[in-house]
Amino acid sequence: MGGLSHFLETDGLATTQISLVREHTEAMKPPRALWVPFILGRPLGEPNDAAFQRRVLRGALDLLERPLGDVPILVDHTEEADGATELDGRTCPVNYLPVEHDGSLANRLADEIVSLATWYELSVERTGRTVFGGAAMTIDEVADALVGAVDGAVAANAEQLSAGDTLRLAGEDLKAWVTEAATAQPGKMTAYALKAWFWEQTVAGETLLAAYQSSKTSDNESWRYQAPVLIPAELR
Amino acid sequence: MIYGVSMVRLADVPEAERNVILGLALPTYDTNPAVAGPPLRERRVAVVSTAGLHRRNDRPFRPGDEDYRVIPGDTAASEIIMSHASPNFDRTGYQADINIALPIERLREMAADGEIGSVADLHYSFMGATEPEYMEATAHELARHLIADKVDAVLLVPI
Repeated sequence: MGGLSHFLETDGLATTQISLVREHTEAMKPPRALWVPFILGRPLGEPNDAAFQRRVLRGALDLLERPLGDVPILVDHTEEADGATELDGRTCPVNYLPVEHDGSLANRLADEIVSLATWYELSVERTGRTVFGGAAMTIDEVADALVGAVDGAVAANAEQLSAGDTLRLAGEDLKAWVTEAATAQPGKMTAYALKAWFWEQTVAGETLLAAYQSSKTSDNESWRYQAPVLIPAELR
Repeated sequence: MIYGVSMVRLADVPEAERNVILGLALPTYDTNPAVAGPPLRERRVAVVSTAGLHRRNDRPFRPGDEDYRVIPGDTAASEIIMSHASPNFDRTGYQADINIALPIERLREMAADGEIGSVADLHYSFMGATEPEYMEATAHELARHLIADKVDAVLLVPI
């Protein structure tokens, strides 16, 4: 952000920015920045809370009114967002269908997808959008690609992407699909609860962890390169 | 918790990852340019994000990409997706509400209420975590487009 600010200001464009990493902003000294105490990934703080988001925006944009003699300006936004609260302890149940099978990862993941499909569809209907689709595959194809990755099979390329990019985008799609479904279920979960649920209790999370373990020693260079981004740093 | 999944506010990011973030080699510059402008209520505002956002049919970002994707302000939220490489930030807020990362609707409301002058026709996203030096040429090129769109306030939004 600080670099972009420098380049744009050099060209005559006034900038102001939201800062999530205060230390970076302190070091790079962009002319105007509002540091926010939110979790990474939520620069505006609180989803679906227009008034909250407006207060953040106003905090950042108002810095443009300050005289040039004040820059560099780094102001702290003091209002916390709900997403930064402690884990609320609620779990998000997946009701597995009573399907008889061999208990393989592929079949368990397929069961999970079937059980969540109605919630995913509800999420799309309610929000009018989905962020699923980066890998340009169906959810079943995403599941096949990732289970295949666990067994060392290089995922089919989509849109002329490298095998590694396909793997990464398929992983993102699986996370997006499952968590969108979960958030359509009754009750509100914090970002932390949802993250813990995904990695600790879902077959999707188990699949990505297994795909990471398999891919990090793959003979395919692009695949090996992308393996770490399948899972959070603390789980590697 | 089985795996010790942690929170993702920077202060709560696992120490190893936090050290990577805080230990990034940041460039320093000989100058600190800052541009003045009219009152906020007269300014035309564009958003430049580093969330790796793009239109559904646009090219996905790859790690280290130095170029940007254009996002017209009238793009339906359902047509915007993210291909940022980092797995270490929350995506559920953005899934629930595009404004958490790309606050175009909020800016339109502020324009309607007279807090800002107007909202630009075009907005942009880079891939986060690309080293600034690699983005310099494309940032200067982008500046020309912003100026042509009569933008005089750029809101930079990280992820």
